Amino acid sequence: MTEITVTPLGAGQDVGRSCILLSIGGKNIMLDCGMHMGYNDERRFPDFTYVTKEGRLTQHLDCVIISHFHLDHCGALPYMSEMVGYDGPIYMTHPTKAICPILLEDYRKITVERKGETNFFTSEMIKTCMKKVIAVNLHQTMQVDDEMEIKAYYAGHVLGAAMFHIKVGQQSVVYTGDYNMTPDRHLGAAWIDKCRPDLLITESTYATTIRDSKRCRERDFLKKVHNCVDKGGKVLIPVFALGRAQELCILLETYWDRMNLKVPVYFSLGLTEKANHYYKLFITWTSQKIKKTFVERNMFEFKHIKPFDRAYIDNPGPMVVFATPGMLHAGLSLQVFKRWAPNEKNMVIMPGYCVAGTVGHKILNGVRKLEMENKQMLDVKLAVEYMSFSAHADAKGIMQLISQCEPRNVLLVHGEAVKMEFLKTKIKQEFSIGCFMPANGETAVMETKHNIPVDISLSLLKRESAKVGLLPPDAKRPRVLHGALVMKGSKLQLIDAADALQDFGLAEHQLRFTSTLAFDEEGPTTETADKIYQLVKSQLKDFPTHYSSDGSITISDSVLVQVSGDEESKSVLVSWSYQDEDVGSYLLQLLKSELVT
Amino acid sequence: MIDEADDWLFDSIALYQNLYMYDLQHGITAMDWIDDKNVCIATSSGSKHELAELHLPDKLLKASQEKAGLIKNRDFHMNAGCYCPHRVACLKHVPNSRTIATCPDTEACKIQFWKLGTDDTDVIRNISTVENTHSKGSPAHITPVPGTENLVFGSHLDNLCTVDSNTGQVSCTGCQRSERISSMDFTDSNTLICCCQETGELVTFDLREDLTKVKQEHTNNISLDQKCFWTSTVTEFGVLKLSSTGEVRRVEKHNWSTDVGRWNTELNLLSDFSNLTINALPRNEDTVYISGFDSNVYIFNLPMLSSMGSQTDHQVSKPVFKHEGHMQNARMDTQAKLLTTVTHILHPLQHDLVLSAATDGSLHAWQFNDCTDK
Repeated sequence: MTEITVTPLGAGQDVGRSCILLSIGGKNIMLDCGMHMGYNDERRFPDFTYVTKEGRLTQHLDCVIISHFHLDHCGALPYMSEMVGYDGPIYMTHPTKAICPILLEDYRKITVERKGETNFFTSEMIKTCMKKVIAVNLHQTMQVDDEMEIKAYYAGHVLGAAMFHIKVGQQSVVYTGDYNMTPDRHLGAAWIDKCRPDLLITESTYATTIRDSKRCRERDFLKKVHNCVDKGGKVLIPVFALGRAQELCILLETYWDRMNLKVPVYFSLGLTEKANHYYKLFITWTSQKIKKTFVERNMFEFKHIKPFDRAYIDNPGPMVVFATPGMLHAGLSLQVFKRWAPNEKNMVIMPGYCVAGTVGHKILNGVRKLEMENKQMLDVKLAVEYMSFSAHADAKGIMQLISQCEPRNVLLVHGEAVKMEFLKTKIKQEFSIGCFMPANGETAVMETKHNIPVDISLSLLKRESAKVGLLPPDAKRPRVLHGALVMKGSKLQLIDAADALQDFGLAEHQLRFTSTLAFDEEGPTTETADKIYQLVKSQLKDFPTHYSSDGSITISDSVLVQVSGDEESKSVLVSWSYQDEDVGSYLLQLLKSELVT
Repeated sequence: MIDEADDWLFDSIALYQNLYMYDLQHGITAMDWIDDKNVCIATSSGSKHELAELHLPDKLLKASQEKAGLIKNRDFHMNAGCYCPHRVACLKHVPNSRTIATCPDTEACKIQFWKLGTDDTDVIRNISTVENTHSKGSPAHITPVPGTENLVFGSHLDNLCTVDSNTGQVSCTGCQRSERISSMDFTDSNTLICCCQETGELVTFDLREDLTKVKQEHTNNISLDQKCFWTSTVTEFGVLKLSSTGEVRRVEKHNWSTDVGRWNTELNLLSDFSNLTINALPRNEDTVYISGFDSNVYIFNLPMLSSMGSQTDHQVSKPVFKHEGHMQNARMDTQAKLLTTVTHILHPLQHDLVLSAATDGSLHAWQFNDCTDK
């Protein structure tokens, strides 16, 4: 037996950041390197002293794997690699590699330049860190070193989100990151092979929830927009260019068309340029619907949605504007917000998460008076609506993924501690597998069976298959083979014992077990032998039995029964070779119970 | 290009005040309110059966509608759950307690009590099982006795039992009649009313006396060849009965002798009557919710009795609203004929808020928009 150990440094009974240390087959892997968005001191980063108290992390880690670009999964990466010290490989998918530095830089600007915090990574550090990244394609087996390989699978959470299958020797682990089992307008559903890993490390943020359907969230979004413009209001939708902006634009375009609405809808130009560029690169990562739309036309060629000009801000009458950035911390979205905020007829719909310190975060927390630059106060009278389109697996999704990949153990991370006992019981009962839920800093240890691959000689296979007929053996049913285990070079081989003896120049020795049963029984010995023969035929039906003219009985290849004695007492000799130990011992017990008592 | 699914979604914006759709791992077999914020459901995969207490999404609760825009929680949260040995046919919450009672869908007529989760655990615990000594091979119905922690359960008129949910102490009696019951409820703190499944007759008992004595019998006038299934619901003013041929009949509390109104809904069901459910909107009993005929929940406005004059028979009534969400959002592989609504319940305080469940595991929470021109 060998162990797999998992220590969450940031996830595990705590929602906020993901960073998990995995030890498998002597390799140490860091799964995600997230930042806790609720803290603004050193607690926002994972506690890397669990890996090493001093020195660089490179000596202790074989690689880092990042599941997707959200900051609670990659936000501490530059801190870890450049400030703590790590020079080894960092694996992520191509879209994650492209989008991750943009988000890190945005966050750095908010934290350092706006909030004036120190002890934070610099722009240069982000660039240096990203140079250590090795991008992977979906389903591409990537050899990390001689012993370890990784493979990415589609996770359907955000553009580029992936689950990773990590294999070291005979052991393997799947790490899901955040994933979603229900396809939507933007992305497909997560999918993985039936790879039967020793351990599945799955997110469980929504493990005890039943998620509202995405379609209802879309419906609410449209209803809010329509109600507002119907009353003559203006709607601002701050979006992240590479998030779900395209999805919302397509939705609104379809609705406008269906309802024959004439109210102008605009998007900011910066948004389209960036989005078109990335969608050209990563179109294969999106849903069928987006792929189809993109083939027909450019991503932002809409009938109803037109490019925005700053001069339109004060246009009279209703309108809808998609503008970047999504957290209202700078740029066009903030400019539009400042102009529209004092009018209660207007509305802002926040479709995503906002980090602390941004205007978006403040208004989502109910702040109605904002201090802007030059100490000017802004009255927020417009309606503020929160609409999350995040795609996470709920209780049903987790069970679906477990049945898809059939792991031997499951480890739940990214959830709350006390209220997951039933889910744990359910996983254990429904799949008859182990289920673990370690807290931060607590190590979960999983024992795994260590299989040793062995080559089998053709002659041995032929001999064994001849015993059960000409059909090929059922690959899923284990069978016992008798042979000699030999080591040739670094490989193990199971060969026919006779071949092994010949190879090593050894003489064959037979090991036989013999036992004699003595008992009183009247009548000739042939009568006793007949009785034994009938017993053997009825109890050992599947074994070839031969009754010789001299009164001896042979069963299988090597089991021999001979009866001797006189009219009053008998001796029965039972003898068998080591290879037929099972049938020999069984027969001896059978004769004891039937004849001696 | 507009998808068909999008069509319904876009139309739903005008049709519903609120619409939330959920997809459970397995289909719901029974459900009941714990209070105005929590609901208990029983689900079954065929081989595995579960109970779960779910907390309603904050977005749905009226108290929070003022700041609804900033409320993030649109999901049901599972407070507690457990496996149970059999598919649950009937589930009732014992009022003012953390106990629920279930009847298994087995030949043995029995009631099981379960303690819902606590602060320390999210596991629902089985506390006791009480057998009905006069089991007649059918699962029981349950109804709580108002103002007590007792319940009445039984499958037929001659095997009704009163059981104390705390002690499990049971008192089984039964009247001379032996019809199978389709539903039962209390019209006041002492009067138990049972609806006979095949005849639609209503039989009442006074709990202050024993259950061997029938207090009143209401004969349901049906023709001899009219073979159908009847169920009922108790309202503030009387009882509404629903037949599998889609007929709704009203009986008033103080006039058990005859039906005061009959409406034909044009719905009809030929087999599997087990899911037929009727509910009336409290304080507006002219609005009835009906499900179990197909994949829809129907809302009918029954013409006011006063407007009908002396005419009580066969007023045809078309639905004022039809919740088609279960079929419209069903997976592509779901066959229309196989999808049926299992049950629906009305929120105890926000009466127009409906929870409806279908055989495919869908659970919808919705309020239709009665201001729109449909």
